[in-house]
Amino acid sequence: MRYDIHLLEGSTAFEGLVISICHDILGIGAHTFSTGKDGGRDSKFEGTATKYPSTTSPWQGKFIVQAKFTESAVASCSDSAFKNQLKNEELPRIKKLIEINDLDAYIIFTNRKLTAGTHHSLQEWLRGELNVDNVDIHGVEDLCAWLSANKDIVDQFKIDRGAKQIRFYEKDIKDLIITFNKDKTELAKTVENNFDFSDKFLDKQEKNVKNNLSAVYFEHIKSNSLAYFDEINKFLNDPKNSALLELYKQTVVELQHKITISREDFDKFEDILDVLYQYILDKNQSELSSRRALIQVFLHFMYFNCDIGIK
Amino acid sequence: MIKPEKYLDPDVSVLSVSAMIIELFKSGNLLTYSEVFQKVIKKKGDQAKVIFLPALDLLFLLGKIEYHKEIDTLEFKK
Repeated sequence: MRYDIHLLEGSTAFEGLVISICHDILGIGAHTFSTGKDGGRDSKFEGTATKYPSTTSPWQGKFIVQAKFTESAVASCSDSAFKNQLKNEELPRIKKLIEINDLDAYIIFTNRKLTAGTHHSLQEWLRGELNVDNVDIHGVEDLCAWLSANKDIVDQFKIDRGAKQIRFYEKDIKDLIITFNKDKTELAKTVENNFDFSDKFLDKQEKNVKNNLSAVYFEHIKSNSLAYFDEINKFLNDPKNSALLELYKQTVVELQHKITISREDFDKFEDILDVLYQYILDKNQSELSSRRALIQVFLHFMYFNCDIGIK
Repeated sequence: MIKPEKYLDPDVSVLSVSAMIIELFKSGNLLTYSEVFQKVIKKKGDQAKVIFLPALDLLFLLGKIEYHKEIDTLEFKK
């Protein structure tokens, strides 16, 4: 899963992220980044790594760790600017540090893209320049893999799940939810007996496959939200709510557009629904926190009603 | 509001209410506004209140009804 690491609030936040990862893979003794007398910012670790590069053959000794942050989502380690920075700024300093203290391992973490070919060439080049075998560089791909396995770090640094947050004009759906909440009559606790959903469920199985919505999550939609759908339909069909219906239609058109653009950044469709839910709630905390269950219900309704997702 | 769409309830659509109003004039060409209104609401429910005027507008545009203000009466034009 991709994470928007480039949206972190600057290099300090990125260094914090790297340290959290280092605490996991090297050990709790990985020091926070600090600026040395030579002006460079490094983190140091001394000891035997917990599980880096593996648990069976961990590196040990004196480590220097560097974090190279970029605000660009498309920056790459292949960019000449990156290699020039390493060559002109970092390597001279690291070589001086080696002269003073032995260096056993040098690791660079960056949120730039790193292809296998560039990784190999940079690693070999750094090994040759520093005369150190234990040298490695990790790009955004490795960072995302680590983050996928460490959700607590994702939460700690509030990195959005999925590569992109889906931003849309959410005020309309907020108004809709508030009005529906005031207007709704008796909500069915269970699906009405005289409404046969069985053929709709078959349709939805095909839709779920097309949209990669898991069976487990579909059961959640059925148990959590299905009972509201008839009421929402009546609400939207009521001619006195024609203005609200217009807001709903504008919202689903925009959402469908944004979901289509961002679809490849998400794995399961429920990940999209979760991102949308969080976005609506975050933007309207004061008005919707007491009605947040209805946010999910409306998103589920949009999906079930084929207003969003592949039909 | 006139064109069918996903969220249109056919029973309280402009076309449905207009058709019902035409039916009401089978027994005669003149009915008071309130007579027509009450019969529509009785059959279609309160939801039709919002649709009633647009339905009359449609029939007027099609040349099927005329409103006589001085006697508050609708006349059906065959």
